[in-house]
Amino acid sequence: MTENDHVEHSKQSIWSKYIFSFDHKMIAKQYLLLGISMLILGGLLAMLIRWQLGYPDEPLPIIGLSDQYMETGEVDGVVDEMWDGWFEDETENWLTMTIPGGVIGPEFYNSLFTMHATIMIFFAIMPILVGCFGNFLIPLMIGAKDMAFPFLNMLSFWVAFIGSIVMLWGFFVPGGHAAAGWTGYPPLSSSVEFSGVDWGQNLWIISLMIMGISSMMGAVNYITTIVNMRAKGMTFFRMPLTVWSLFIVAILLLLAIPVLASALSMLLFDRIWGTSFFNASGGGDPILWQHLFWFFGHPEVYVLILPGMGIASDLLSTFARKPIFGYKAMVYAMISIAVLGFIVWGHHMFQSGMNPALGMTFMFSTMAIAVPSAIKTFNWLGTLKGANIKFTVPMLNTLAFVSMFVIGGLSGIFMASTPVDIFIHDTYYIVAHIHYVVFGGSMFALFGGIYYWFPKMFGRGMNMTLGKIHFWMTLIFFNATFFPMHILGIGGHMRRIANPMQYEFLQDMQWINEFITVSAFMLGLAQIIFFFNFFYSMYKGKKSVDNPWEANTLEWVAATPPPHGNFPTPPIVYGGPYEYGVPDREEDWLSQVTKR
Amino acid sequence: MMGHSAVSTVNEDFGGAPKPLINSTYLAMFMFIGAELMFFSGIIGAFLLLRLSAIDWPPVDQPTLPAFVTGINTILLLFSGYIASRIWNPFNNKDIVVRNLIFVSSLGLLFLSVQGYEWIRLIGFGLTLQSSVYGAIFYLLIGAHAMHVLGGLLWLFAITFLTIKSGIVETNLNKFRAALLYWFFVVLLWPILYFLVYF
Amino acid sequence: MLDWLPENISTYGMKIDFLFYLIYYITNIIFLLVAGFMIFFMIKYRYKEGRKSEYTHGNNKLELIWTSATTIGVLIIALVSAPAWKEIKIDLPEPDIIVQVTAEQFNWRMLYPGPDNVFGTADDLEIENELNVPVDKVIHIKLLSDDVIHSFFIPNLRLKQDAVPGREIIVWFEAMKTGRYEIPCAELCGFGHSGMLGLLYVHSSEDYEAWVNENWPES
Repeated sequence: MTENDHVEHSKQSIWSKYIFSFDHKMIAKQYLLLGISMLILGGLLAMLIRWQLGYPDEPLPIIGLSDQYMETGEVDGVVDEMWDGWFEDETENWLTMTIPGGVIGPEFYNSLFTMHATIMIFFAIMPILVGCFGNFLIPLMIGAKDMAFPFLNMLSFWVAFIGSIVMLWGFFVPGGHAAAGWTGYPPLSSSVEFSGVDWGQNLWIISLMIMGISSMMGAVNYITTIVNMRAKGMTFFRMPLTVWSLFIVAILLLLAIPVLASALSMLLFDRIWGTSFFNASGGGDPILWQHLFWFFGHPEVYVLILPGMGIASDLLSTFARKPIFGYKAMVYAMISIAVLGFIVWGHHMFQSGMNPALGMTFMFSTMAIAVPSAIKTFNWLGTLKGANIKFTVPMLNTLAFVSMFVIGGLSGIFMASTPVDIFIHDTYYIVAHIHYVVFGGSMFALFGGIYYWFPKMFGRGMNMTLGKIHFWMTLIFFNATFFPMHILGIGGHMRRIANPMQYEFLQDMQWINEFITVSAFMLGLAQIIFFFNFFYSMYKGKKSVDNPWEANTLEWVAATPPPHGNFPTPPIVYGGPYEYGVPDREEDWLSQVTKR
Repeated sequence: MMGHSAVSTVNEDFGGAPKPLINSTYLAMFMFIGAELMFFSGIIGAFLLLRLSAIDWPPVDQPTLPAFVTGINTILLLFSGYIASRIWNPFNNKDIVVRNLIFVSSLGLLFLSVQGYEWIRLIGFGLTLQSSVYGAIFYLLIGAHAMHVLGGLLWLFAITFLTIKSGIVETNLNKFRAALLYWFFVVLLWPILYFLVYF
Repeated sequence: MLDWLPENISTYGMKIDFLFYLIYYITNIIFLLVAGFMIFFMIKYRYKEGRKSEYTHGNNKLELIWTSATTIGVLIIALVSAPAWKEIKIDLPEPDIIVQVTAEQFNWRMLYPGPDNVFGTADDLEIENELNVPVDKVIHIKLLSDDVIHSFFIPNLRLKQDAVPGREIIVWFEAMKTGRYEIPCAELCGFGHSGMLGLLYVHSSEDYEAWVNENWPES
C-alpha cells in the first residue's frame, strides 16, 4: 500500500468503506460473508433433513428433551432445576409450533428440503462463486481498476441482501416457509388450499425476484467490464479460464433469469390475484410452469458449475506447473455447454406428461452435453500428464473437483436415457447426481478457490494443516454421504419423502439412510474446521507475500491485499495466463506482465 | 517482489488504458434490453401456449379486444418513437430538443391514457384477471408493457429536466441516449404484442 | 449381473434394466480409465524440486479423437434408448383392461369400468388405493389428478408417470408375475406426500376371475 492510499482510505467513513463501498474487492467480501452465513444455514437445514430421514419421526436430540421434560419432569433421569428455565414455558412459540415435541414432521420437512435447496443455490453458491469470485477476480484478472459500474455493483449486493432478508423472513410467517420444493411446481405452489403454506410461498417468490434483479445488475456489470475494461494486451484468448467462465455465466444469467421472473410473476398473480395461469380448471396449464422454470433452471445448473470449471482449470494449471491442456478447446467447450444448456430443459420433464415424442428430441440434445463436458475432463487429465504437481490444499480440492465432477457427469447419462429415467426420475439417484455436481463440483472448486485467493483477499494465508484435515474429512464423508444415495435411488427410494419407513420396499434399505445420516453429520462437523480456519486466518493467519503460489495471472501482480484501484499503473499483458514450465527460463512460471 | 518489478519495467515503455470496444453505457443498455426481451419472451411463450391449447380464443363469454382503437394507439406510439429517433444527435438548439422530448412524452402519455381507458371499458365488459386465463394473460402481458411505458416516461421526464438544467453536454449524452434506447425498445416491442394479442 | 434394482415384473422392464446395466458398464469403464490415469499421473508427476513440466499447450489430434469418441458413444446410448422409450411411452399396445386412476391428496382412486367396459355407467366400481389386475394382460391406466401433480410410480413395473390436473395421460403395462406390490407417489404433492401409497395386486387369471365375480356378482 502506498502513502496515497492511506490518505485516501482515512478520508472514507466506515459507511462508505465497509458498508456501501463501491470497491469491487469490498463488495466481493460482502458477498462472501453473505454466502458463508447462508452456507452455514443451508448446511444446518441439511442436518435436520438427515435426522428426519435417518431416524424418522424421532424427536431431535436436545430439543426433543423438552418433551421428555414435559412428561416426566426430568431429563434423562436427571431432575435438575437447570431444565426448568429451558422448558417450563408451555406457551406456543416458534419452536413448539414448527417442531412440536422436537419431531420434525412432514410439513416442516417439506419446508426444510425446499429451503435447503433454495438457500444453497441462490444464497450460498451463487453469491460465493458468482458474486464473490466474480467481483473479486474479474477486475484483478483482466487488469482493470474496478468494475465498469461500481455504483451498480454496490446496489447489486444490497439488493441481494434485501432478497436474503425476505427469504429468511419466510421462516417466521404463519403457515411456515415455502414447501413445494425448490422447483415450486404448481398447483401445489400456487394454492394455499393444497399446500397449507400461505405467505411463506409468496415471500419465496418475491425474494427470488429480488435476487433476480441483483443477478441482472451483476451480469450487466461483469459483461461490460470484461468487454471494455481489459488491460492493454489482454485479448479475449489471453483471459484466464475463470474470467471466461464468469463471462459465460453472466450471459446465461442475463438470458435465463428474466424467464424465471416471468414465470414467478405468473405464480404470484395466481396466488395473490386468483388468476389461473397454472390452474387447469381455469384454463391454465401446470406444465407451462415446468417449461418456463426449467428453461431457466437448466442454464442455472451451469451457472453453478461453470465458475467451478473455470476456477479448477486455473488452479490445476498453476499447481501442475504446466500450461492448461487445450485452452481454446476449454473455452469452446464452455460456450457449447452454455448454448446447449438452453435446449435441454425438457430432460427434467420426461415423465411430466409432456409429449413423449418431444422427450425423445430432448434425450438427443441432452446426450450432446456429455461431449463438451468430456472434452473438459480429458483436457484436465491432459494437463496432469507430464506435469510437476504440487499437492497444496487448493490443488487437492481441485483434484477432488475433477474426480467428483466425473462421477456426477457420468451418472447424468443414466437419466439422459429416457427409458432409464422412467425408473430413476424423482428418486435419490437424482439427489445423488445433483450433489455430486453441485457439492462435489461447485463446492470443492469453491473451497479450492477460497484457499487459493484468500491471501490476496485478506493479506494472510489460511492454515494449511487444518486445510488438509478439512479436505480429507470432506472428501471421505462427502462420498460416504452421497454415494450410497445412488444405491437408494436404484432401489426406488423416492425423493422428498419424510419417512421411508412408511414403505415396505424401502424398509430393508433404512440402514443405508442411517449410515448416510451419520456420514452427513460428520461432513457437517468437518465444515466447522473450515469456518474456524477461515475466520481465524482472517486475523491471525500468516502474512502473505504478493504472489505466494508463483502464479502467472494479473491478480498476483497487484499488492496484497490490493489497494483501491488495484494496480499502481495499468498493467500491460504480454502473454497467456498459463505459461508454466517455459523452457530456457530459470523459474517455472512466467507472469502475464513479463515482457518476452 | 517479482510482480512489482515486472510492472514497473513494463510501464517505462507503455502507459494508458486501451480504448473500450464499445461505449459501456450502450453495451449495458443493450444487455438490459436483451434481458427485458427474454422476460417478455417468457410471457409471450406462455401466451402462445395457452392460446394454442385453448378451445375458444377468446372464450365465448369474454369480450373481443378493441383492435381498431389500439391500432390507432399503436400508430401514436410508433410516431413518438420516430420523433425520439430524430433527437438521437441532440447537438442543435436546446429548445428544439426539449420541445421534441416533451412531444415524445406527451404521445407516450396519450398512449397510456387510451390504454387505461380501454382497460376500464374491458373491465366493465367483464374481462378481469379472474374471469378467464384469457383475461389474465392479457392484463399480464399488456400490463407489463404498460409498466415499461410508464418507466420509459419517467426516464424521459428525468432527461428532459436534465436537458433543461444543463443542456446536452458530453458528460450526459450517454444518459440521454440510454433513455432514448429504452424508449425505442418500448415502442418497437409494442407492435409485436399488438399483433399477437389483439388479433 | 447386479441386482440392485427391485425385482422386475413387467414385460418392458427388462429393456430398462438392460439399458441401465449397459450404461452402468460403459460409464464404469470410463470412470476407471479416467481415475486410473489420474492416479497414475498424480503419482508419476508429483512435485520434484528442479524438474520442469512438459511445456505443451495441447494436441489437436487428441482433442479430435476424444470429441468424436464421446460423440459416437453418447449417440449410441441415445439410439439404443430410443426404441425402448418408443415402446413404453409412445406406441401403446391395444389394451385388454382399462382402469382409470385418479390421484388426489393423498390417495389413488382406482375406477374400474365394470363388465360393460365403459366408464361413467352404473356398474363402475371405485376402490381406494387398490389396483387389481390379471397377470399377462395389457393394462391401460388412464391417469388423472384432482388437485396437484402426483406421480404414479410402480417400482417393480418400472413405470412412472406424473398425474397432471387437467390432463388425461394413458400409460400401459403388462405384469408377468402375480403378487402384491406398492404404488408410491413420486412427485411432491403436499404434507401427506410421504405415505401416499397404493397397492397393486397382480392376480393369476383364476384369481382375477374370482375377484371380478366377487365385485360384480350379477355378471
